Amino acid sequence: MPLAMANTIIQVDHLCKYYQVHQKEPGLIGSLKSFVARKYSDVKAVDDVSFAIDAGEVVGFLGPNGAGKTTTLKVLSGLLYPTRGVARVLDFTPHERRAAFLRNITLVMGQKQQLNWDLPAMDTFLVNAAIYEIPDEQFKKTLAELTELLELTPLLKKQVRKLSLGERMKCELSAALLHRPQVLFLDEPTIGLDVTMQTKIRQFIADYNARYGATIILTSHYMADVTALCKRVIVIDHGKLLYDGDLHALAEKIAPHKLIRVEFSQPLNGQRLAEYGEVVKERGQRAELLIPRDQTSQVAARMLAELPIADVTIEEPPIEDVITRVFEQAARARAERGESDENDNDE
Amino acid sequence: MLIKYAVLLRRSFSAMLEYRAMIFIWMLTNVMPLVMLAVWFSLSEGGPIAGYSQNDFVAYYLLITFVRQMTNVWVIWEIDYEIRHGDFSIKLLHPLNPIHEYIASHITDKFLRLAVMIPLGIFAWIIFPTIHYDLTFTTVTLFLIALVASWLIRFLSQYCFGLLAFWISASTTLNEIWFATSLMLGGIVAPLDLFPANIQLIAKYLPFRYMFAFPVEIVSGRLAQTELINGLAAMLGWLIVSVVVYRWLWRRGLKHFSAFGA
Repeated sequence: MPLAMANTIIQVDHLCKYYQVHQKEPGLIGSLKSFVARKYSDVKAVDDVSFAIDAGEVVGFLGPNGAGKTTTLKVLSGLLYPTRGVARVLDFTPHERRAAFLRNITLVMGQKQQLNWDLPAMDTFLVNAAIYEIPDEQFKKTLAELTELLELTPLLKKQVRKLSLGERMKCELSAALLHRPQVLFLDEPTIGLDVTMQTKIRQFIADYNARYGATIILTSHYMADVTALCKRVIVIDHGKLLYDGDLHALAEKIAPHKLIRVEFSQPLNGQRLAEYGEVVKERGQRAELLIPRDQTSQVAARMLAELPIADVTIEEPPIEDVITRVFEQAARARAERGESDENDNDE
Repeated sequence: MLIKYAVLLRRSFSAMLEYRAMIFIWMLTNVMPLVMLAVWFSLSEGGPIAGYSQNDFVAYYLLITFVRQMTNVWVIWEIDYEIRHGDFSIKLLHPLNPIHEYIASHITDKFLRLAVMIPLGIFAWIIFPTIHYDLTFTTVTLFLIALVASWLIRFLSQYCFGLLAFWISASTTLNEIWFATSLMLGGIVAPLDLFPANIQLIAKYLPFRYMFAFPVEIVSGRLAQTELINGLAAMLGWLIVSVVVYRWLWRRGLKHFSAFGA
């Protein structure tokens, strides 16, 4: 086990979480069969994952549905205990669920809620203040700050069920942060929200991180959340860690190309674009080409000299494409090793 | 802890007031003891049955209706729903055992029921001025203690069935069987005095009598002193068993839950 750094907040070593899932064929016959003899298969939700996160980091946790993101967050917040390996958060073993641990973390699941549906959010806040033993002064101060950052004033006295999805998420986040946790696990905090609201929540998370120096792990299907908030990303798929490091370095590693967009002043006569690079799109007088990173400037210069160019831009390929490529590469690698895509072993 | 309860009670009061009409309707559905009263009332028209006159039946059933209302428990439906829908996980993130939230909402419910029961009780006294209970300082005190103990046994036993939802999906069905048995052997269908002697004997050792009938028997004036003391001892015994089983299931259940489902 590597020695933990002094300010390491989250330490995960060779973490494994396997589930036994019972399988049932559809229909009545399937039900009867599974009643008589149940078939179980092991699902490796998390399979030998290691990483360490320092105080104050905001880390993006990326992976397709079922990659093991939520399972990892549940292990880290103490809801699940590991099949093998070690998880340490703030020097606690999460699944022991010590009160001192629970008072310093929070897990927000975009799909779940803790607010009482029939009451205004303020009632849940007061209950949480008591449960988390938040001193009166601190409660007032934190609530005032949250109210300012999230514009809660008009929402606090409305019944939760009468709030819009975005308003509810603001209140959920507040309820989860009233005790000022040092560690935040945010599982899809912007799911289902419109772009404006996503931006607001994103800004809020950044503010919270800056204000309290909190350590944050964030999962999201919206890459904009990740690019806006996280310098570092951890990519997992099928329970395995694929990448851990700088978000932009990932782009350079996985997509060793840049994207050149060109607009021509007149139709090309005979010149073949394929000579310059991989043509991704060509329509009318516009085209997009992928050029190897190290040759970008030479190729661009050649194109400017040889083609009737009106406009040119050089960009990083969209991060969504980069991530998609990571998963495609992983799937290919699995196929070459002869593993099934379902990642289970029938017994 | 007191502060936590004060806040939890305040919230569940507000939540329940949102559903005040529903609670009233729920109360009305618990009228089975009154139906049984009507049956025994007409059967005893010709003369006392096993020492119960019409007047005794009225006294018995009115009070057992009260006991049933005041010990009402529904926690299994909440646990079952929350475990299956994952809401239970959210509760586990709080640094407070979830049982306290459920206890708080049940206490709130008792206050609301009491508010309905007291005027109804006065009304019943006006209609049946002849009913009589053995009301001394001792019996009333013991009645109140036994009432709380009955509720605790009912609550904890149902909570334990609820926790079975960590392992099985039929926990509520098992609870229904338990409940039906408790109506039978707890003195709702008929006062236990009306049962054959050997069933009466068994009932004294089973928990069901201590969920409904025993508090009523305390003020009925029918218990000899040794019977009273034995009953209180048995009640305490079942209360301790409930606590021990709950604590064991809770530890095992959480372990299982965090291995498989949370």
